[in-house]
Amino acid sequence: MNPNRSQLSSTNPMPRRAALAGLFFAAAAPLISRAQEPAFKVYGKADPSAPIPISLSGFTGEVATTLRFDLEVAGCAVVSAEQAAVLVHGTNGARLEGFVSDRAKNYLLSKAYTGASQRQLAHAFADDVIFALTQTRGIARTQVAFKVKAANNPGEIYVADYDGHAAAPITADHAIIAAPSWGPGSKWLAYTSYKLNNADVFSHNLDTGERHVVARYGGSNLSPSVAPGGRLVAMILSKGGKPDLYVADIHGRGLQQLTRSREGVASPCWSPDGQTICYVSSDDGPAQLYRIGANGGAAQRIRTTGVFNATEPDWSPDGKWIAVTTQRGGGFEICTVPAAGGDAQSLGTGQDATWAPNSRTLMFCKRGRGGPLSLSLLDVPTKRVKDVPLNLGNCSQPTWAR
Amino acid sequence: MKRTIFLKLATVALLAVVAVTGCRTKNPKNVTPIYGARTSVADDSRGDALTKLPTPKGPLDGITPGGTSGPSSNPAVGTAIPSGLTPGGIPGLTQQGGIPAADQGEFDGMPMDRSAFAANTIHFDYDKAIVKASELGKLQPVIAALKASRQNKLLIEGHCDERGTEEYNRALGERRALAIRAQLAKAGISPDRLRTTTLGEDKPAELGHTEAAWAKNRRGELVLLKPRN
Repeated sequence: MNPNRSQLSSTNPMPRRAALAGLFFAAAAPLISRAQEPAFKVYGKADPSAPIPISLSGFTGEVATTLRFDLEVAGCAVVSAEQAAVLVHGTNGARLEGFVSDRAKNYLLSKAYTGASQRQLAHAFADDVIFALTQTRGIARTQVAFKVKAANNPGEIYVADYDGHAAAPITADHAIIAAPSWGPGSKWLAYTSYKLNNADVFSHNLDTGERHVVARYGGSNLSPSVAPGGRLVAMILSKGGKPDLYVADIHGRGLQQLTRSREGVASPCWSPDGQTICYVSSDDGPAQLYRIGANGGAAQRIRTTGVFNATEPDWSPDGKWIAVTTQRGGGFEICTVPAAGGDAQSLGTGQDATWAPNSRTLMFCKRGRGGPLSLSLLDVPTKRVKDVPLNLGNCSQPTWAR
Repeated sequence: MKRTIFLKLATVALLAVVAVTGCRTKNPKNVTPIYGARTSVADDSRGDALTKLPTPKGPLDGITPGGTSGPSSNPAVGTAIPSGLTPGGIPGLTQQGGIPAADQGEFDGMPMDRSAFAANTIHFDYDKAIVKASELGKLQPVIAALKASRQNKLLIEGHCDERGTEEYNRALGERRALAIRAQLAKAGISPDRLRTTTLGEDKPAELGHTEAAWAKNRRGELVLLKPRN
């Protein structure tokens, strides 16, 4: 059926090294060493806006669908073997064997995966394919958290794989809840909960389920954003009379007020080095982006063109971009602006985007006609969107563990 | 003789030094004193696991528990807040600030009466947090009632329509509640009797996705709080 595959399996008998037993699924045995070809190509570099044409063959069932989803989100277009620049093929049974070659049969990758569910094996292979092609780390095994609001429940926080699978609630409060933000290592989250009849900021340990108050001052305690490194939390408190930006440690100690706004500020996010906080301020009319040092100092406007009423900024992990929601006509669009300011690049309808650890993929919230909220994934260079299949109610406020 | 002159000079110099250093350590104007989360949390101790003071445990490893090192160490209560703001505030922005909020503990356990001021809901323009002149009349009965019954307090809930992003709306709802609070304070109601909260777009008054529904949802609801007895 597939000439590549038959040729490969005949010339490359599977090694006995599957005896790497006990190792987790990522521990895979290299089958052949042809990967070290001298002419090494990084795909998608010349024109990042063009998807990498790949063919996918040999895989079945959940592995095939998972792999396809992962690779498409990562900027590949699945085409026929004749049109493909890269051939991805293999088999899945008790273990997954996967191969990546170019049209000239130069093998970029050949690996076997075992010791986890079919879905996890597929994710692991997908990450390796993306690394082999683009030299960037894949995101197929990352997690997201988001808010779910259903007809009979004002809100819970859920954690799921980035593709929406294995979604599980981490709260059972039946109270309004909002703005989850990951602590480092994906071990804890901060969020706003109305459980104690006010908008208060909590930290939530995902291993123990233990929760602690970070901020419960008079007024509202909103929009926690955990700093890279996890020692500090930026948040919006109105205790001083206006919604202003504050920073405290994760236990709420050492509270420091950073802004003194006339109208109010919202939606803080951190630069990846933890030195700067980006937020929006409504002091000069429609909301605009500002940045301020994590220790205070003078705030600076981030000057942008093509952004009107900027809300919900998120700073890319590589520090280069800020994804932000902008008003466009009656609706909202996701766009990216250079972190130092500049022209906005529009990425299409949506709101409240969060960066993946690869600084390339965004997850954002779509508001359908009539109000339902759902989550989608966006590959920024190719602007391709894939919906996240979730059937939980209104899903919004995604935040990517990174 | 010479000695007394010297003493007088020394006294003057000492006073000058005290005046100058005293000024430096004074809190910046309009900045709320820091109570720290501890105080605020302890005010509301219900014995609930949620309200217990944070005690770092194993899984929070790697997180330094609020030590004195690092950029934002815990400033002792009473010292100036190192906000780092220049006296003029953020360049290009008017320095103002609002009326500090009373601690949540001040309102604990007060039963809510939503019907008392149900007719006095204040409505707002799109993306605005200004109490319109046309809405001010609705506050008069509320002011009168609060002045007549000094033991009562008020919860002001800010709401938004569904347009806009959720966290932005949550801040906008709080701004609306604070704007109503400022009006009531201007009319002579002690701000310590006025609690604000925001529900963002979470509790629309009317479901629907028309301008008419949105107009009804952009609002501030006034909830009477009576002492329990």
